[in-house]
Amino acid sequence: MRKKLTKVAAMAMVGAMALSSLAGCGSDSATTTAAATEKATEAEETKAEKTEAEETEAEETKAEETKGESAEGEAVDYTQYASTEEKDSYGEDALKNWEPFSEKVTLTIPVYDRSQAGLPAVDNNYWTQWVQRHFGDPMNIEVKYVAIPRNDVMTKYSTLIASGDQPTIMMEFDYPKVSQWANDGAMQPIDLEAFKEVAPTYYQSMVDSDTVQYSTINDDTYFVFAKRPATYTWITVVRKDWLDEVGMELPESYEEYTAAIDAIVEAGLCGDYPIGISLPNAAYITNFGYRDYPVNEEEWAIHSSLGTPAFTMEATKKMLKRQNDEYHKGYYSTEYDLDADGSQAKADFINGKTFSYSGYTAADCQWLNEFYQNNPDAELALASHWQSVEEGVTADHPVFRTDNPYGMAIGFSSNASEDELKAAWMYLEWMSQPDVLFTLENGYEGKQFDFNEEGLPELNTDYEGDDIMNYSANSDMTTVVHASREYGTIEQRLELVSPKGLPQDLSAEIVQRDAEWRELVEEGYGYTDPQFSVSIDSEAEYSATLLSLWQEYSVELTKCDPTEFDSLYEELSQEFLDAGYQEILDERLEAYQNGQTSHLPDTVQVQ
Amino acid sequence: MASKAKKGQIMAVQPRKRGIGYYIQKDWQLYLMLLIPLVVVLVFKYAAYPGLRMAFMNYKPAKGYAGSEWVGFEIFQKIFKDKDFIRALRNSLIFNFVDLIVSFPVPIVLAILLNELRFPRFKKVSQTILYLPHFLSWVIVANVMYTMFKPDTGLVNNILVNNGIISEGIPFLTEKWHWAVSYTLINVWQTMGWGTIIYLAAITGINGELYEAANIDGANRWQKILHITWPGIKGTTVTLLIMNLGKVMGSNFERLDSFDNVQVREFQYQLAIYIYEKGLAGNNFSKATAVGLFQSLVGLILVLAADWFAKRLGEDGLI
Repeated sequence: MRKKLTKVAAMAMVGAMALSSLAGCGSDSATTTAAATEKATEAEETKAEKTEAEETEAEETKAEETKGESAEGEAVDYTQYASTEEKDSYGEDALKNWEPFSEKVTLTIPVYDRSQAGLPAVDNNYWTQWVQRHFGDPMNIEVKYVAIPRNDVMTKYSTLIASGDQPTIMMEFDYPKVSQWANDGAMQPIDLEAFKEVAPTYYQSMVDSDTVQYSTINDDTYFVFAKRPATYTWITVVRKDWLDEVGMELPESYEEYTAAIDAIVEAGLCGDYPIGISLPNAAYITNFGYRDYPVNEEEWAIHSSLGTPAFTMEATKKMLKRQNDEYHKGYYSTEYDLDADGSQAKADFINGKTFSYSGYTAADCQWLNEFYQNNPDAELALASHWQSVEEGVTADHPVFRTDNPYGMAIGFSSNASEDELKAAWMYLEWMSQPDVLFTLENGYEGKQFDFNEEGLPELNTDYEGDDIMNYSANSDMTTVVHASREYGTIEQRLELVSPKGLPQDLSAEIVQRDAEWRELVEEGYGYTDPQFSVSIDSEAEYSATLLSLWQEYSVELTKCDPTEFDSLYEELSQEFLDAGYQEILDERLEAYQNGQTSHLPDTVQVQ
Repeated sequence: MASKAKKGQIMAVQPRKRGIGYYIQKDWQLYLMLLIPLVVVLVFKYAAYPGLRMAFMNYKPAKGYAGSEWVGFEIFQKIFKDKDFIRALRNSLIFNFVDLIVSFPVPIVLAILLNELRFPRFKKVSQTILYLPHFLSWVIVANVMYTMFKPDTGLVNNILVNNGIISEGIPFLTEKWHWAVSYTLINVWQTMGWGTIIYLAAITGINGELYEAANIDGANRWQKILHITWPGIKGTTVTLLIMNLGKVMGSNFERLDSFDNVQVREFQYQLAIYIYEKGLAGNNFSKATAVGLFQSLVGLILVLAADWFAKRLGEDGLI
């Protein structure tokens, strides 16, 4: 009897093992590319931290004001969209135009997974089911969400594309990335007229933001664009209390800045070093301030990019030279290059060891909360935009990179059938309906939000329940429509996202800095990167190599002996060009000369 | 091995011919279990073979095999002209040979030493402690090592500096030559314990009577090791050496990536990193496959050559 039992158990185990070892082979292509995908996943796990923020810089830089500004000036009555509990239907105005599909259509939509603790799964939660109930069920569509790790978007998409499983909607903030997918054949060309038929509201929003012009690449139309409302949530704070202690004002120039830092070090207020920096992990080099102003359009067209580091630009040399100087003055940790994800720099600031830090603000702002917990008596101020301006080194004004005129660039899978494509367009249109959008990013009145005295929805950050919203008020779902919430005027929006519940109220300063920034941008001290209407193939091929070289070279040049800086820079520049950058420059120059790029405003250009 | 074969023949002295069905029926459970590894090998090793054609195509995943064009040896020509590939190849070969020379003998010595231990409990505890690092992944090992060996804030350098032994921190992992040494020694530490298992098993297989006879003849420990233990495990050693030679072209992505930092990329840039960076991050599957194929072919040639050489020397070899 016992022997039999053991036999049965052994058999069961053998069966289970056999099954699980077969589970890996889903589709044919999955097995044939097994070797490649295996490495890709392995890499995904270990490289995860490194590629972090490759995409985020699109959000980190400040957004340009777009023409499609809603509610600017005129007040909208948001109570008409609000309800205290789930209504019978949402987005009626869109739904009534369509017939349900006769056969069930599957629609797959990517959603970022930011691994936030305490929040529900991004691909299956109350709100994804809510979309299914109110959009999917009435139209006979099965809406499936696919989680995309936020810090490794490209590898995840690569593996999905390699196995032919790319989602129906494919989207990214950075144009070079979506254009690469289009160029590789992972997306299908679309007919904008047909799109307009199905999604008139969405299309109108593109017309209002003037983004239709970017839809075409290599003479085929591939993309539609989400809106990017004006927002200013990236802030730099400094230790006001330290400045007071050494009897100094907020630095308004680089000279004042270094004087303040030197005095703070002298007074022994900071830790081992006053400034926290970390290994650069994005291809975007923040050298706008160091570029000649007005700008030479050709130089701008071939260098300025989020996708490839502009290492050989004169502005980058100036920037690194200053960094080298600061390093040898002992401003940075000698081990800063080992801090690949910026966690050390953040911890240093939170622990009260460094002078300044930059990050996103939010009503419930974690890094500021932690900072005040550790330093309850500290006082912060928002850094001046002028803090790094130095005659002969930077332009005479602070100059900024303004953001793309659009939020997400959205294309559609080459594997999508006609019905699936239509379902995707219907989804975009339905999501654009004001009551859908309002409910998705605010929840229900009295639960996730309440109206403030100005009639704007204010989120209740303490809310916990089954219908809790995901990261940043479901923004990773609503991002197909717009990159951020847009309620009230810019000032009112900033008010809403200013950190709450801190010993110090920073909202007035945030509003003020934003106004100053806006003014400078309007005067022409802000511009963005060129847009290409052809794909730059060499960029896809070399950008990963060049990013890793940029990391290596920037550290080498920061730490090298100041007397050797110039010759080393020359030498490394040549190596950088040889490693593929020259090819990219040539290809971009050709596109520029053929008129296949966007242009700088006349006020910014060298005439 | 030869003696085993002879035994098999003796067993089969009275052949009552039976079909294969009889044996399968008799031991069907065993065959069923054998099926699992067979399927795994077939699916993950052989089913991937058709994918190798990528190396000869300009392969675009979204377009599939049908939509991608054949380019012959163009990808290979491109790779062999690539300076980065030469650097990766050079680093891989050098570091793998160094690994082989340094790491290979350690488990043998260690196994012999462990075998000489006479107090069983002490032996067991030592073995367990030696095995433990094997169960830590490279990511964890690297993080611990970086924390311990940072030049300014690392534990080891702090102790050395505070006691006045050195005046400035040693960049164990942040300067390329230091890194090369640390990287190799950490590998020895991580793998040596686990490597002893196979040698200890071989030592167990040595006939105890040989030692008794040696004792009677008055041999000392050293002589016993030299004339009994070592010849007893020599065959195993040669087999393992040949198998390890096949790895000389290999490259462990996990280990390299965990020990990555920008100041040592000159040495850390090896084939696995090259494949990841150019092939996968650059979305160029053809390149990744071509390098992989090249690695495997060279690995195969090395193994066959070593096997031939071993047989010339009178050892058993692999095949």
